[in-house]
Amino acid sequence: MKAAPLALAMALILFLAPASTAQEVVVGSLNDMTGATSDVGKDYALGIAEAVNYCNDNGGVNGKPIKLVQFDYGYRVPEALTKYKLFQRMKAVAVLGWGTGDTEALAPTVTQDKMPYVSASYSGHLTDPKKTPYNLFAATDYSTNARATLTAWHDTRWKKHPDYGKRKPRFACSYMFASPYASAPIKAIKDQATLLGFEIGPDQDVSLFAVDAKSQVLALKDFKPDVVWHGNTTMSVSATLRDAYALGLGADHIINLWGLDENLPRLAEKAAEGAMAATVCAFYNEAGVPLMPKVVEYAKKFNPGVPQEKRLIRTVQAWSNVLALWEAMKRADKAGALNGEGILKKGFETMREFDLGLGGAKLTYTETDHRVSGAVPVYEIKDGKFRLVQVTDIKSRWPDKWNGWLGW
Amino acid sequence: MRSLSTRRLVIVLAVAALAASGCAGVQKATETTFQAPSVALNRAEVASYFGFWFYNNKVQPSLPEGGKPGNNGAPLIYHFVFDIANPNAFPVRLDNLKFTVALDGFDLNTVGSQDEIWIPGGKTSQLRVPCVLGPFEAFMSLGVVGGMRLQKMGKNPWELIQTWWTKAPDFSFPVEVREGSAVFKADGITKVVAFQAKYP
Repeated sequence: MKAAPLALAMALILFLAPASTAQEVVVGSLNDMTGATSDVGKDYALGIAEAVNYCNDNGGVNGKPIKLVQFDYGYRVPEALTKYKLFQRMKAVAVLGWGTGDTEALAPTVTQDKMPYVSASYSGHLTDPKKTPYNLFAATDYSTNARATLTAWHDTRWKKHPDYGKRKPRFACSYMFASPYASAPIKAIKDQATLLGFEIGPDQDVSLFAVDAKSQVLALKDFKPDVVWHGNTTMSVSATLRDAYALGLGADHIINLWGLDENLPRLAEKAAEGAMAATVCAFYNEAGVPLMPKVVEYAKKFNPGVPQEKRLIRTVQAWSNVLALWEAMKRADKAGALNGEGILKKGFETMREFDLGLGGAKLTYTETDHRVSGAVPVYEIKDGKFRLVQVTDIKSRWPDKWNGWLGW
Repeated sequence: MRSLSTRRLVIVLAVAALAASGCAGVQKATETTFQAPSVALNRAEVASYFGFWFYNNKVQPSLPEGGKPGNNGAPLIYHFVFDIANPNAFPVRLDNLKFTVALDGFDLNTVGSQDEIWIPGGKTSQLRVPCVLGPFEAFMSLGVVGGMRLQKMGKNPWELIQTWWTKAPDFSFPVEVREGSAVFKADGITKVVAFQAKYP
């Protein structure tokens, strides 16, 4: 009898006390907002948090909210390792990573720990599940993009060139040799150049911090390239394009995706006209992209102090990775395996032609191949705006070679 | 006697339960009643000061023996203290807050707090947010983000960094909080507040 009022009181406390936090799914995020890649890293980081808010507003992981734990690591690898250990102690089920520095440093660890690591380092080296099964990204990889961009230039520009059929087109690469990001697709694009019958000229070493690339442009002039691959990031690429324009290089420009965004035409102005690049998703606020209104709505809602004109395609790239991970977590959870291995096997590797609605390739991950697609949209800058040139499907065009290109 | 003490126990527990509930029945947040809290920078502090020094990656460290050289320098550690005022009658939760730190007009870091903090109705709470800047990170950020502006100014990034690191205790150059946003929640309603400030 005595127990009854006590139980009633306890029940009253439980009923009236503020609801405790529902079971949360912890996801870590490593970002660069202060270091060498902060020009694009900040926009990406904002996009990560905005996308997670969108996921939570739409049910989280089958009713469980995602708790995002986000840190800047300043592109310092020891800092990335320290924060990764914190994520583990916080029982994170997956990590949203950033660039080549953290991704490569953590690749052996995440493989051993079976921790899905969804980053914005789209190196082809990370696409072979035999070597790096837990490194994932919702984008076509640098090597596939490079092959597709060079092919698009060959299809659309070279075939209209007065020298077409009379001589080999000439091709050269401009990038920072010591940068793992910039050098990642060089072997692949030169292989593609050989396949398409290009004459390949000498590489030019241009720093990621370059504000002047005159000596490299002058060196290129001796070779007279028809097209130049730019493997650096936006500011360095814009400096090279401006010098190429000023010095009358006369070549077309094709650019890796971290070198072409909404800032390139602003920085390089006329010198950027006609430049081509593969993209892995739509540009920020691009029309006709199903989920883009939400991307913009969440950017305005959660970061009202950041001017809209400063927002970039990097936001959309962040959304792509978050939404892919979200889908994988939901699938894993439904299969009763919301853990690292489950997210990979019951989540990512069950996706077939999964459309994120953000203008990128439809995602397919298999047990033997983590390249999401061979179909790559290639854009060009025309009158300061981005225009789709073509979708180059290198998997369909070279089906006999596609498997051999895995992992490099 | 037993019956009386049991009744007392029930009353005490019921009162405790009401207190624990934050008297939730008094007023609830709705889209119309939830007023946005305010976020104001109270001050910036140099929380710990190490002066200015930098060793590039050609200098062998003293310890450990045979240690890997790196681009290592003195951290510049700021703390930003914000006054967060809740004008509502009900408590609100600060979910997260972030902002960009700029020295002399150059964005150098984006920092924030992800710790959940409750602000009682009608009260002002203070939140302290640390920001650690490294000379090499600042150099890279200046090179990539501010390279063209520096070129126009005819300035060398190291010149600026050395000035900032040595003059930081005097606050003789503007320290800015830019593009700030704070996310508040109450009863399932979310409000986001933008803020910016310059100190001093």
